Amino acid sequence: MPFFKVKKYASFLFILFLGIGPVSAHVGSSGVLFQGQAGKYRVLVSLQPPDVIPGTAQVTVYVETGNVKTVMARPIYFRTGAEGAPSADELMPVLNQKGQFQGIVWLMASGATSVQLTLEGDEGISELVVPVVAISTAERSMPNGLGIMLSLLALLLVVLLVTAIGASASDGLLKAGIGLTPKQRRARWLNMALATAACTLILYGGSSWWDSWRDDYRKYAYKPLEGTTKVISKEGERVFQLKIDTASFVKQRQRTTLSFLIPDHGKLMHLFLVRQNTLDAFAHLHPERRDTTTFEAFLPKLPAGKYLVYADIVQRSGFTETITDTLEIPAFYGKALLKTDPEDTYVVTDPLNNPKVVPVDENVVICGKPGTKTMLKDGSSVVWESKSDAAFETGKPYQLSFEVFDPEGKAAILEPYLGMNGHAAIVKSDGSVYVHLHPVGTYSMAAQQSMQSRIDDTTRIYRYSNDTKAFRDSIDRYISYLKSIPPTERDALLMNSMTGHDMKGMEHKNRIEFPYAFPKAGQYRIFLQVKRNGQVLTGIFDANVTNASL
Amino acid sequence: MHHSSFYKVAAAAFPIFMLAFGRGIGGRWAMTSVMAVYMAILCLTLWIIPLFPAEPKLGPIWNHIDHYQGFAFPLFLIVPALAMDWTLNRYPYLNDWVMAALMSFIFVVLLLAIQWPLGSFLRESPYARNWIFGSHYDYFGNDPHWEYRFKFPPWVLQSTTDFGIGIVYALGFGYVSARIGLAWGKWMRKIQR
Repeated sequence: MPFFKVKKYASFLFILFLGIGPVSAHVGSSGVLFQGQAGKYRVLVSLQPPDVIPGTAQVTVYVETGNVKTVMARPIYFRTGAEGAPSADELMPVLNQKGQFQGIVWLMASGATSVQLTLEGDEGISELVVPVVAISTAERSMPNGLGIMLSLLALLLVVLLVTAIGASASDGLLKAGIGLTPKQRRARWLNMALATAACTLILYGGSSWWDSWRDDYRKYAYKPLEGTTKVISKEGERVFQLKIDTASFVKQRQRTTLSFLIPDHGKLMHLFLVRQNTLDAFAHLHPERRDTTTFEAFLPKLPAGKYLVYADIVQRSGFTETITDTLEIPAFYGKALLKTDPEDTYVVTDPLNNPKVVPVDENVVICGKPGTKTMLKDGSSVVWESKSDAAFETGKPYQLSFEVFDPEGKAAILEPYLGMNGHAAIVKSDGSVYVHLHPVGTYSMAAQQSMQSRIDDTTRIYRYSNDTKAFRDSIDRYISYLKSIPPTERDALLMNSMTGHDMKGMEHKNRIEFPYAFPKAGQYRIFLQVKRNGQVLTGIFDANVTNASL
Repeated sequence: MHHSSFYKVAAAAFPIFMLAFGRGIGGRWAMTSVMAVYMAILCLTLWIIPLFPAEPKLGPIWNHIDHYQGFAFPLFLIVPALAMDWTLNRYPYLNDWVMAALMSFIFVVLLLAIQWPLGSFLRESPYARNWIFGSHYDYFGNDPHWEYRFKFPPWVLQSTTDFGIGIVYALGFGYVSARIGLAWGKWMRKIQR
């Protein structure tokens, strides 16, 4: 199969030169928000994937600029590409909502997939790809009322069948006008008993069959990748270590999938550590791969305590995953001078609901609220543009916009950080919601790039290489190359790879916008990260989210 | 059709209905006519449906098709049916318990004699991949390059011993099925209208 071989290596090289963007993995909120430019049209796409596969994804398109007349949508899977995608269906305009289109897309199989949108309007035809991961995570139960109704109907059927069989063995054999003999009466009862037994057996068989399907579904339902984290000592320093648990997924998935990880923002893994409950200590690290399942990073000067761990990875297909755990970090020792990655950062702040207790540390930032100005470490400041008493509602897409000012109060000049002009991590107070956001939305840009290259490739079915080592090594070489070049050069390389977004126009703006919809009510903390004068700065904000008013 | 479970399922499922109708309807070739209708309906759907254009509207699409896909070539149940009709009429006064054993034997042996080679032909032969036999039709969600698309995968192949044991089970299932079918047919003749 020389044809496939050529394609295989071509896609290999493609990743190497492309660099590929970030991951936006998440916990607790499966919806995808995508903000970007489709040709001349600026759109915000909200995509709610189904929690049971096969199922339908809800797609809503908000056209922000441009006059779009029709929007078509179709699912494109990584394995089968654009050639293996059905023709598109139209998303219908929402009544009385100008520039808003809504519809569904069927996702028939699990895996890395995407929704391709075709917009047609005054500015011609434009296309756009929103990556999404199709997985079964939920188990539906039958509504009680329906269950009772169906049981009663089934009981009626059984009674009818038993009676009919009893009658057919007795009354059915009689000529008109003749009564049953005692022997025939006995035969009727005997047949009814046999019929009851047969019906019970059939019902039992049906129930076993149903249960076996349920077990099958459970077996193949998506289970998040699991890992165990701990702090070890190396060179007299505290070192974070994550070991991905392969035993848990080896039964249903190929062991090799971990060999097909691709970098996102030039890093193989993005690790976020947040101190549990108080959310007053935060680190964004980039562990290095020691072997296929082991990742390690030097810990910065984080205070001791129990931390929530979120580790994001992306697979070749664009399948994104977040490994979660909790980790007990011991009291600080060593010098904390060693960094695994020059772009590893940490910050401490005041505890949630206890703003007076400001810790003493070289990396302290006071947590801000909507509408307030917050000082950053180097004297510059961030303003969250919002009303100060703003309460956010669940499920509504918001533009979280931040403006950064230099110490003189003028608009700050932002440098790209990991190839983007800003990053944000949002964590809910109980740790049940976590998302790594970019100004373009809540989706994985690595996944989007992967999907875009897959669409441009006309191979009908993508075949994974058997040579996992070659793939892994090529990725490792690429990452160490990225690490070896100066930061400005690296960011230029990463930014160039992000085609299809208006990143370049935003390069020197001091305003950053993140589209996000809070999935559930509660307290959230937003960790905003920007780069100025070669220094990564973290701003922290609290947000209160209430249930959407109906 | 190279695995004994096919014969087990067939022996359990078919004789009960064949004999119920065969005896219930009466007539010399009742089972044969029923099976002829079954074959005709399946062949006609196999031959007519693919004439209409169609495209898959759901993804992912593995097998690229532009017309409806036929179902499958029917089972040659007409062959055991012919022999069973003949036997039922040749020995009308035979005890039903003996008759059931005879019917099961005829059904399983003749089905095996015809479906084993037919199964090989349909699965493996390039001459089966045409509109008459329809072996080339496939679901849009199946990989058309699957290595066992036109081969028997190793996990459906049995050792001769296992297959033989399976056939003995099939004869047993056929016996029970045939006996119930005979009783059912007898009852249907007695029913008053």
